[in-house]
Amino acid sequence: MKRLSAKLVFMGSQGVGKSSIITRYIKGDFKKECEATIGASFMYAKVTLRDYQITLKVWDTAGQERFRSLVPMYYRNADAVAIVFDVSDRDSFNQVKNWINEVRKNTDTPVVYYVVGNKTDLLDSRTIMYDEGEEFANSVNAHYWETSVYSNTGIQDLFTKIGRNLIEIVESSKPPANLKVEIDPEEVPNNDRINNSKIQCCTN
Amino acid sequence: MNETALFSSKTMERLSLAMKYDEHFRHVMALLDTTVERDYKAKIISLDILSVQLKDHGNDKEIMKKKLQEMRIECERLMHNLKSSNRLLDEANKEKRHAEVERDNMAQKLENFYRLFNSANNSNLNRSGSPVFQCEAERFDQIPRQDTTESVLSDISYSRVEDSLDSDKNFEDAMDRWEPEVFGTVKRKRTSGVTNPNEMRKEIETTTTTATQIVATTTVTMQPFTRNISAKSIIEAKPSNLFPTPSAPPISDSLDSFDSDPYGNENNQNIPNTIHSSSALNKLNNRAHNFTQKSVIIPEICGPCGKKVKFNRVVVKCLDCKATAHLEHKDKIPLPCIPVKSTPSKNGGRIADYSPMVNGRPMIPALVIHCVNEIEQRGFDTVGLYRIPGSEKDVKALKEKFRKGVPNLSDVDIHVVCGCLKDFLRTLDDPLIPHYDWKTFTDAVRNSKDETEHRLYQAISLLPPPNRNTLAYIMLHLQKVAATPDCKMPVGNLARVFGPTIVGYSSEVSENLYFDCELSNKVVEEMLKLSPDYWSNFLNNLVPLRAQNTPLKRTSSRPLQPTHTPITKNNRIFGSSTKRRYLESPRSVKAARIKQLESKKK
Repeated sequence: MKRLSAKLVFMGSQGVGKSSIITRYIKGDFKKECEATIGASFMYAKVTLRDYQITLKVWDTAGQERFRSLVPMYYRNADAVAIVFDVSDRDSFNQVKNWINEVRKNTDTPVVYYVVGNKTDLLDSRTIMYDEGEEFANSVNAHYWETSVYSNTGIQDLFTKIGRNLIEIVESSKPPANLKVEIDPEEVPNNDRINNSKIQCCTN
Repeated sequence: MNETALFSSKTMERLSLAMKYDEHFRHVMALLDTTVERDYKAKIISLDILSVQLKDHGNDKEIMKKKLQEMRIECERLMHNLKSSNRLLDEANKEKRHAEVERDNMAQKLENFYRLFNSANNSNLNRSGSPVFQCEAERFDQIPRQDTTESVLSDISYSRVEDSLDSDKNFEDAMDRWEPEVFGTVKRKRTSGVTNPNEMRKEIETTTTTATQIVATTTVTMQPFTRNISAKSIIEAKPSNLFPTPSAPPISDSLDSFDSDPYGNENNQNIPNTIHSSSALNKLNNRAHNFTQKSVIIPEICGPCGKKVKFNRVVVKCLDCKATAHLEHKDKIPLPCIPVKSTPSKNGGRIADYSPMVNGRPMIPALVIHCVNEIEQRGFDTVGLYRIPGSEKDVKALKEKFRKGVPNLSDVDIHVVCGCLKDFLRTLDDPLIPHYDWKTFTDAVRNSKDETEHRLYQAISLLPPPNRNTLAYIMLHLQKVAATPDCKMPVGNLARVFGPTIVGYSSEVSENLYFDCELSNKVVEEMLKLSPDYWSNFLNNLVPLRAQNTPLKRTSSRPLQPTHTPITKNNRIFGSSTKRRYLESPRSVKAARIKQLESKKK
């Protein structure tokens, strides 16, 4: 078992469902009304693929305009960036390009970009079709994916896909310095166990 | 016979004479040929043109210099503006805080009134929630809070200026070095030698120098017997590598050098239980000093050895962090160089007042970093780290020393170091979690377990940058302490110690202090349970861009000052700290001084 940990940042306009995607994946539930994120939130997501255990440090940033200035702090050193848009909201789709440009401008490490179209369950009000989204994603050298948190489609696959791409990068001839694989799987859990037992001992 | 011989010899003579004449004639003709001269003349003319151009360049340089000077003045003016607006902002902030307190009071009154009103005609009004609370909810939502001047400044790469001025200086130095040659215009080197018996060669090498080096080599070859004269000239433009590149080193470069940094890892190995090898911390710990040399006028105390440096001895002083030491103790000054700000003379102040700016981002106060480093180096085998109090007198004395520079912590009792850190955090006017955020934080832990984490993340992201960075640094440190079994200080204990210190109390004078205290402890406990990956993200952001290997370059670019340093800010007759010590001298300071003197007598 190889361990890999990477930083994944979710960005996008307000109300496109960034937080929902993450909570859907991690906790498996869905709330119709989600409070607006303030600043940013942080979670771990685990993906197991082949012989890899990938720990994704998921940063969920605020989409609201007034938190725009805080966002750069979170996407620095990111390995993967997922930019979410709402398929029924063209404005949010138009914003995607700005987000990508901003990240490109402010980071100097290689980043894998994902353009994620969310809310595909809204068939009636959908304005951005799959082809348009994919074409755009290809033009900015990003991967395209569609999800629906409501009907729980594509969420698992999105994270698996991100994991698979990260493994590809790590296994490629030139893995970036900030992505490191820990191949020694036995030691880490052992250490944890020792720590836990000792801590318990102290509190007694 | 004789006659014929005579005749033949005469004819021979005549013939040879004719031949000689011929030869001479030919020779003269060759000499009269003016093509070489013409070529040479052309060459000289072109050289003249070159020299004129050089002169032009010189003039251009003058103009540029003048422009640079103007720009610098302009820059200074702008800087002044920046500073004054800074001050204004600070004032406005202060007013804002006043207003907040006032508003809180008013809200309290209104609420009381409302309650009174409600109880008076209970039957009439059954509305839920008071209007006061609604205004409460809105209070900070509209304006992005710029609590500190630092957060405003963070967009401007303020401290870069210094570096760029440095390179300017280099540039000027280099220009000065070139000056004689620039105005002498042409340096000529003549090598005339007869390398070959039937060949005369003249070589003129002209080297002129401007920003790029121009080397003109002319070779004139004369072969006297064949009348063959050739001139060859090569003009080359060589990029001069003597000029320093004025641009800053690329960021990626510096980052790489940090990543492949062996020392940082060593640092971490000292720590018995590294749950997280955060490279950000290593980077922070490797900031190098920026030394300058000077001779002492007012006796100063050497940080590492603690002795007084006498009159006219030479000390090194770091320009950024004001650490002072004997020349021979230079290497013993603790490594991470944290620039000091002019700290407020009194105790207290806000965290932003202590946080220096590095590359436009607020750093962590020097006191915090040095104390934490010391504790991480030798405190991890101490039982009851942070729990056992140090001598209060020593704590005060140590804190006073920090005000003047970086003291030597290696023989201070570890509990005193901890005490100093705690005391520093406790005596801030606004605790690490400011009064106006107290409610947000305590609300976060009051909620259900599921929500706590999420709400804490949001509350933390709203803190002003200096507070957030310092909090992150301290949390990472405390998590290490909690994970060290030898300390016997699990999360719960640390939370109890640091609850009131970091979180403080609600802004109103609280009736139920005990309950507040419990909440504070809970906040710290929950924050300690957050992932180290989360906290280290904030520190990643304040890794100085200045590469770790720059000290070499820096020392060369900024030469050590000569020993006859003019009396500057640093060694005025009364340094500001000295003045403060004598003129204000609160009792504790006096006590510290007396103790210092006593220990010296011993």
